[in-house]
Amino acid sequence: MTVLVIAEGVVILLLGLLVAGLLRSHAEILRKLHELGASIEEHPPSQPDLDFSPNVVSPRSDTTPGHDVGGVTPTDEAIAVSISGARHRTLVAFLSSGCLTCSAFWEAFAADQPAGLEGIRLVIVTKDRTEESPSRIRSLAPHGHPVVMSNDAWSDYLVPGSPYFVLVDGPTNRVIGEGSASSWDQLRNLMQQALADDSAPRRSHRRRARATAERDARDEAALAAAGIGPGDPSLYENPEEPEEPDV
Amino acid sequence: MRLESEGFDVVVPPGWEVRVSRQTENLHGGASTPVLHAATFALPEERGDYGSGCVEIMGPEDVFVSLLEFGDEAVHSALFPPGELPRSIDPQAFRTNGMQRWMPGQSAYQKFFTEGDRAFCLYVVIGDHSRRVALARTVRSLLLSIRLQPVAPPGAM
Repeated sequence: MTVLVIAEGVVILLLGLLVAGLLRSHAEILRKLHELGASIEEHPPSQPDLDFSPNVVSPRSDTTPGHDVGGVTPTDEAIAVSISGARHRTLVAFLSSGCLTCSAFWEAFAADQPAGLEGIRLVIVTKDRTEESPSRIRSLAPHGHPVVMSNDAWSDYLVPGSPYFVLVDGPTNRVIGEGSASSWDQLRNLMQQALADDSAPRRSHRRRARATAERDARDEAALAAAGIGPGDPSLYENPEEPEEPDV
Repeated sequence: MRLESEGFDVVVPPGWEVRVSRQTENLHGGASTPVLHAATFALPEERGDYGSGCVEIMGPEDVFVSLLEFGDEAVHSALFPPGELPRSIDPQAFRTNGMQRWMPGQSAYQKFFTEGDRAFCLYVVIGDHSRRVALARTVRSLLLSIRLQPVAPPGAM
């Protein structure tokens, strides 16, 4: 009888340890889920710390200047597009026929005049016929924008994957914006930001030049009012030099 | 950048854009023949063989070049005498009334010739006739970069 009671006690103790272990494991899982933002609360936190966008490609490993793009079109024309040194800005869109995220861009670019592309030339670049089907690209290609099938262009721009976009300022041959996006709206915002950032220094330079000109005009007017004109000897005196004492 | 297609071999000069395709119109009713379009501005997707769709959007500093090939029936005919692709064009050879369709300020040059048993028409439009000396130099930079490959003999692969 005593042995039976002891055995039952041991079993109860072991079960208790098992339940405690399970509860601890459950608590650990809940804690980890909470950290990942998958809270079991009815109203999750408004903004997670990280925004995972699985369809967005990481940035390029290195930067490059703009490059002209050459290859063939899906209709088998030979094509060389001027980007570097062109008098306009060019949005080079690296797309593929297979990626799900790219389909949003193929559709957006099919619009007659996609809002946000004013003054910017769109050039779509896909891999060549060794990796893409020309007929498939032809069916996706938007009307009115050049589509170039070229593996060299992907290498020249060190493109990490699709979709990827590079905004090149032709006259300066600088890349003024680049990256990936999951929608046309997102890309448009990125482009607007890049264009604003690019034009800010020039605006600031113009403001400084204008302020200098205004200050010069004010100084000229004040000197003229004091009877000091161009070539007046007083303009060439050193104010720090002590006057010679009268003898 | 080098472009080789349809018997045209072009080392594209900086700032130029080049397309080689098949003609949309064939005045002689024969098979569609190649055409090379080159411009110092962004070539539109919809282009006529002689630059309709292009000359309307080109600026005064721009140049448009069309090099159209014609079929065997044109080779060495009266309109296509033996000759070579010009490497430079005399600025005085541009004519304001030489356009397919008159455009204010613009002028054009046209030459028919047969080179290497291939019949061609070279048609050049400049954006501002008053700048024809400078623009003729721009045209020269492209013409010097074009090689017309001879027709492959029958049976050659």
